[in-house]
Amino acid sequence: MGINTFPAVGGTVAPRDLTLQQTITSGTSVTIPAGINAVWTVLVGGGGSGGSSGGGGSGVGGGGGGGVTMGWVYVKTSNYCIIGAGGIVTYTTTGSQGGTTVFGGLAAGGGGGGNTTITTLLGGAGGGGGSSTGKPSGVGFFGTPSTATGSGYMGAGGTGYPSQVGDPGGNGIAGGGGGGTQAAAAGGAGGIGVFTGGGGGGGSQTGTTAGAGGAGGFAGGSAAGSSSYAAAGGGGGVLAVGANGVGGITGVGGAGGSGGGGGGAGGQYSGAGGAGCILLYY
Amino acid sequence: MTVRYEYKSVCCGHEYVEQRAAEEPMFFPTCNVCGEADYELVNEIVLADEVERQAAPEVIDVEEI
Repeated sequence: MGINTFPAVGGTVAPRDLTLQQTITSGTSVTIPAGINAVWTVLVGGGGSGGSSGGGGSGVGGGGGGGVTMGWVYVKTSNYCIIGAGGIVTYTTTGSQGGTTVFGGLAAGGGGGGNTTITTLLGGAGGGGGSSTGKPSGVGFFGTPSTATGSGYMGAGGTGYPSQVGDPGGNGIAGGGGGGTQAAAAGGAGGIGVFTGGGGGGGSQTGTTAGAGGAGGFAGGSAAGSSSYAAAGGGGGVLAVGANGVGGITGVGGAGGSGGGGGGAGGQYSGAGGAGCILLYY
Repeated sequence: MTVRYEYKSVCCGHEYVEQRAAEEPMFFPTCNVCGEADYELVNEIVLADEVERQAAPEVIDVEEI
């Protein structure tokens, strides 16, 4: 194996002759050895959490994958950082947005929460739409359209529908969350991201199929079918795989993988979004 | 609790750091340079609790004019 290979995605994301030297997922400051004047930095925002049916009959949308920003950071005496938290587990229909990761003047936005129409910022992917009202998804800061085919820098969330299969999340650097469904049909799959995958959309109480999580740097989780609640899989993150959904009366969506994976939608509880991270190359 | 784990690969001696919560698993256990072997922990530093909670905002009574 050669140097410069980003371990999670198998592609080159850093300039030549640089190697991954530090992976930061916690804390508010970073220590860089003396003599290093600039570092190539990859920032990943937190993934959005999926929405939850809250015990109701309608499937809702999965969370979007965290945004990705990269560039050179000049090393200063005090290099403070903020790691974007993943969206939290919810019992309500709307998931929460992931937090923004910040370091040295760069920032990467969090993914949108499931079943929301909030416009994500700084590269976060949109959350998937809910089913009962046929909500459209959130859209990305860079103008990704709010459609199932809304693939681009970050994927738009898939649209949910009351009577048909939820749209899959859009693909991109960060994948959008899948849309939910109210019918006896499947929730949409999470969008595939080069770095962060979107969470799958939820199935309805009468349906038995939710959406699988989209792959990011690592694989997305699979959905679990059930006669009561199907639970969607979490999207893969830069650092870890997305968790599988857990079907049954509790219907828990799979958590997004660490490093910005979007959380899957659940019947009772949603999957949390994966926390963001900072990767330093020098 | 945030811990700075300092590693060195047993194959080529590459020095690598993961700064993560204590309960989190290691993310990239295999050498990032040659991929021939895993990293070996050489040092760990528990970082200070950096989060300073802000005081709750003062409640200001507004008198009606």
